[in-house]
Amino acid sequence: MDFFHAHQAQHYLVLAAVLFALGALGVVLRRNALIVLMSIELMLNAVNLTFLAFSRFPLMGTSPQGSFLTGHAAVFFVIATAAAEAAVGLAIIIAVFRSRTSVNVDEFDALKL
Amino acid sequence: MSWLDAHLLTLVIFLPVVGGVLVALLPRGEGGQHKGVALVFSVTTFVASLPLWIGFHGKLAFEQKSEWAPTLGFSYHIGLDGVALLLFMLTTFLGPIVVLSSWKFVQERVKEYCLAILLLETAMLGTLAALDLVLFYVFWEAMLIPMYLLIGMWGSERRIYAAVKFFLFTFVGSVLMLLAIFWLWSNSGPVGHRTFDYLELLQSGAIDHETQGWLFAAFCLAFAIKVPIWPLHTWLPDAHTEAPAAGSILLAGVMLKMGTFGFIRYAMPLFPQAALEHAPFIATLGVVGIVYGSLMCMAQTDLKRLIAYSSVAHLGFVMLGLSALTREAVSGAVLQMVNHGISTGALFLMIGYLYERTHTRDLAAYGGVATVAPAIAATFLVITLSSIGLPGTNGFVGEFLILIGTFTSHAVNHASLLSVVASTGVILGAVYMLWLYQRVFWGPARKAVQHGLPDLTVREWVTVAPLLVAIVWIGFQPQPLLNAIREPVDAFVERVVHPQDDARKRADALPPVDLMPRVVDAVQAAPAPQEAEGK
Amino acid sequence: MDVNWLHLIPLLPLVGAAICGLSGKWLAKSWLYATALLAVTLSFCLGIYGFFNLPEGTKELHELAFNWFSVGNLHVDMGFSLDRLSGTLVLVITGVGLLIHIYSVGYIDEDRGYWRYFAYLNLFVAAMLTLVLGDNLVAMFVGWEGVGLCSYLLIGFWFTDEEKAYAGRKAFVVNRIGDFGFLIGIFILFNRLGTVNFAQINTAALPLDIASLAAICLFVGATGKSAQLPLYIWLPDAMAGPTPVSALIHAATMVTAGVYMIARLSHLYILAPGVMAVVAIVGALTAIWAALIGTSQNDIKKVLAYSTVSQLGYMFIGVGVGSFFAGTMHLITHAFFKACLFLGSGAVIHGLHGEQDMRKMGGLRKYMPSTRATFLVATIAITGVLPLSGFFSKDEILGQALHTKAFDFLTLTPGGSAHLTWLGTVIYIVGSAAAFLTSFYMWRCYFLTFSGEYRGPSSVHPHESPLVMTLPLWILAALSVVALVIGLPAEWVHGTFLQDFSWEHFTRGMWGAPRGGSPEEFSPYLGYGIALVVGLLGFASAYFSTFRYGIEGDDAITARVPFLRRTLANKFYLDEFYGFLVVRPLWSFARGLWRVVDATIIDGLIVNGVGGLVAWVGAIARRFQNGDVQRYAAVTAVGVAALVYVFLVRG
Repeated sequence: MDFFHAHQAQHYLVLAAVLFALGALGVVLRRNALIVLMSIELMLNAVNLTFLAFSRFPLMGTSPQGSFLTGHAAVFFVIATAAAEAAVGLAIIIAVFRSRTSVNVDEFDALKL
Repeated sequence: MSWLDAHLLTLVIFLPVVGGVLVALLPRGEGGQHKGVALVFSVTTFVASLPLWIGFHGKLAFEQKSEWAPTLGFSYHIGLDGVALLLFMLTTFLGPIVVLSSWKFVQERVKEYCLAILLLETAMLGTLAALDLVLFYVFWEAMLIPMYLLIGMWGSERRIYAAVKFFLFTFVGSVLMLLAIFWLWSNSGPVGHRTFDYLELLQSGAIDHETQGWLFAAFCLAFAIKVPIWPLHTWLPDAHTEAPAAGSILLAGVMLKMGTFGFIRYAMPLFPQAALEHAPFIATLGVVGIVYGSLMCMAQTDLKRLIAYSSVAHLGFVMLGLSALTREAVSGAVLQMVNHGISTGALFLMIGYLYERTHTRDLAAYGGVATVAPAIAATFLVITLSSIGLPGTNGFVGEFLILIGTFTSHAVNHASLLSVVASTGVILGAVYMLWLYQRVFWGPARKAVQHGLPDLTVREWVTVAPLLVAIVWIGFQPQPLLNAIREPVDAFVERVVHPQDDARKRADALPPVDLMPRVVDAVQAAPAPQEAEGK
Repeated sequence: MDVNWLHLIPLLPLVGAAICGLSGKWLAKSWLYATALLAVTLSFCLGIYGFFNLPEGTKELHELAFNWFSVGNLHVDMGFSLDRLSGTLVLVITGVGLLIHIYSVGYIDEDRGYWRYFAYLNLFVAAMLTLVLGDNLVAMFVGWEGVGLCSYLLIGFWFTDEEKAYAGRKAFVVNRIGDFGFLIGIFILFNRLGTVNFAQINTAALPLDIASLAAICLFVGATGKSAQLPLYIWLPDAMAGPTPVSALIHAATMVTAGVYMIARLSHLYILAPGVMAVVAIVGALTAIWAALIGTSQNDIKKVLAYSTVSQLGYMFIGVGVGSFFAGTMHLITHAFFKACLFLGSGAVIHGLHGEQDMRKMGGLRKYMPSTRATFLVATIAITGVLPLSGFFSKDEILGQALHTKAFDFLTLTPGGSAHLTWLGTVIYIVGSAAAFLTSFYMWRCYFLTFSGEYRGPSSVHPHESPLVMTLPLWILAALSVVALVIGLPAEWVHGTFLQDFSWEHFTRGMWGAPRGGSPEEFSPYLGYGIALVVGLLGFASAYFSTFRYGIEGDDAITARVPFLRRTLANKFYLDEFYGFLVVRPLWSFARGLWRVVDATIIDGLIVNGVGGLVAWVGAIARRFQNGDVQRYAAVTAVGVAALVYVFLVRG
């Protein structure tokens, strides 16, 4: 099957890919930890979009459109996880900010041995 | 046979671990209790091992075999032959001495210290008793950890470097040996019937020539590092120098012997052809070790480092004896393993006591100890004499047997020459040991002893006296020990050299030795003495 | 004949040594002395008992004390055998030993380490008796090394003195060089014969090469223990020990062990005629070499030490020319007069509060009459003036050398025709020259010490020693005279009761006969005449220099030949030569080897090199882990993209 040209979901998928790429670039390039966190949210939402697109237009041709709810379920999980992740992430950022008075990720290298 | 008889060996091996568990349960900070428990259990281990010595007979005694992982082919199989028995007894004998020797010296982290010593003892005993290669390997590697901790935690200034060096050296060799063990296992039969059992592996079919060479090399490397054979010895001086006295005693007393024990138990009997083929090479390395180690001793200014290098020389003798493959030489080598454990262990013990008093290992700081501490000087003298192999001490019997056995060996080419070169070790040994003795004990009092030294305390006497007795006792009565090892040594020589070897037959085939300058020529033409007298 | 009490002879002094050594510190002085003396006395009595119970002829008393160790073909027993040779030596060792013990009671009494001293001395007697009584090479080696140990301990007795400590170590190490040869000799014999017992070795038919090799190796051991060229250098330094020790160990007993060993193995040595020639040549060279040095020493003990080395050379001439009885006879007589001389010098040193330099003595005959008289007797004995013991034994050796046939069939090159028939004559001439020098230096020593006027500082008041020290002197002096009976020429005593005392007669049949045959019966008178003239010449030269003019006479000689005198006083610079050629290079080599091979190549280059390589790889790898989460994420993203590309697009 020609994955990129012959599917009804392709517009959604392209949009999701663009959003994901923007998010990834944000994570890698931005200095501000808050923006990095928001970029992660963006990537998660790109994934959500993909889930929903495939849920609406399944890959298996025999199934009727819209009959798969698994994608929706996954999206709820992702939203919940994203919320938790945002909470923990913000808490970490606040903790780090208290000790370092900065949210600039370039200044953090505590993972180094 | 009662239950106790059947499980005695297991009991002795694991008694120190029981002590270790008790030590672990005791609250931290009660240093005296920890040491007390360790002492009680090491003494008990020694006492419990005495029936092994008394009840030993035959070729292999106290055998015990229990299932462990039958599908994989390994089991809990232990037993003692004469050679292992001697080293086993040596280990249990040194145990209490080691614990007592550091009674005062170790004041920090006593709990961990006692634990390490006790676990080390079990590991060493297990290594000697194991008759299954997996079991052997487990115990073998288990020795490393406590010793690594002993050096790294209770050592002196460069202890971390020494501990890491010790660990890496010994570990590298062991890994190759593990591979060789796996090869042996895979060769031992069809899938499902493979075994790690030493006795079964001995019986199983011949290994082709080239493979034997590789496997022998892998085993040799592991053991040679442990011995250590020149030029793999450089971890030893560092480890000895930095280790606390107790660590040095165990290291010199027992652990180095695991290498030579490995040769006589595993490397050579498992691969007899390769062993016979490479015996001259190993013998030569042994001789190099003797001369080289002795010369190294002459260049040292650190007491412990000097003794460490003397170990290289002494174990050179052992390796020479093992690879000479005559009954005299191999018996001498086994005896010398015990002797070295006693005399070098005692040397480290005494140096530990000196260090406790002076806090220096620098030869130049010592001098005139005999004036202020005559008992230390006297005991050290006896041990020195044992170390240089004076007749009447244990060292002589071992060295003499090795040298005379090597001289008459036919398994090794130019064995006589090797023996002659090795005999120069007798001279060099006297050179460096007496130099050490004079430097430390004689002469005017120098820096380290200017304010006097307390002489041996009662506790210290208790640790040294058994060693002195052993030195003299083995010096005059080595025969019980030699009787115990006769059968395994005979079997070993037989297996490696092969039955067709008839020393006498070969002797006649050899060309006569021709080294004498021909001052004499017309002797045959001269009249016989009786006729001349008649004139 | 098997007996069961022989082991007691060495065991009793050993027990004495153990008692003195372990409990001596707490034992009352008198009890300690009693123990030490009693042990030696009992051994002496046992020796006498054994001596008078000896079986006829060359048979021996034998005891197998215990099996020491046996492995494979090697059986080493602690066995003892007492025959006419070892029996006599047991008497000499315990007899002279006892006298020296008695003397030591006076000599060492004031020293704090007296108990240590007696422990060592007893241990020495035990070891020496083991050496003599051992019935195999290994048992002998036990004693051989044991006496070396005691010598080491006693030379270094006053160990706080660095020089004395060094002398002890030097003695031990040089002896060990000899012992190395001894060991190799044992190996060679065992390899060939499968036994180390004297009984089998002496009856074995060994081929020339094996016998020669074994004999020369054993002789290396003898040169170490008996202080012959080139290993004699330890003996003069050994004078650092207490003087009675010098008398017992470094004159009377231990240093003669090499001669005893060769005599014991006479049947082996006669199978190696070339080696016997070597023995005789080494003996002759040592005799003259040491005598030369002896003429220019000023330390009274050093003179005696070189004299000992020289006299040992004579003994080796004796055994080397195949006249084993003459060599051992000189061993016995020398034990008496040299012990007497040493103890006399000890009395002098004792009386002068430690002064050993003869230039600060002189005129002591007034202060020490007993010492002087006994010293004079012993001097006459050693210089070989008729009729004392040294005369007969030394001239027997020289006479045997002159007439020997042992070298008649030796050639220098294989198949060469020039036979070494002249060797005996050369040795005789060298030996006679050494006898002249002996006479000179001994009389010089005597005159400088006892004649003339006292030259020492006035603060020192020379005094005679107590009876406990002079009594042994008198006994030894008497023995030096009486011992002449064992050396009387055969034709003088033939048929008389004296014949039974003749050493030659007494030991007949014990020795191997040299290949060339025993020398023909020769008349001793020519030799005696020459010896007397030589001895008198030595006396005269000493008389006209040092007796007439005292120390100035000696200085006059120095002024005449300053270079020679300096060379001799410095012992031909042999110690310096060894130091330059062997000792220092060895130590430097060891240090260099350590720095270059051990520390640099093995440890630095290989071991730490591998470690360094790992560290280098790690240093590069660690750059990737800089703690920057964003870079991790970027790398992860790129990695995922690459994987997606590979698996989804390409695959």
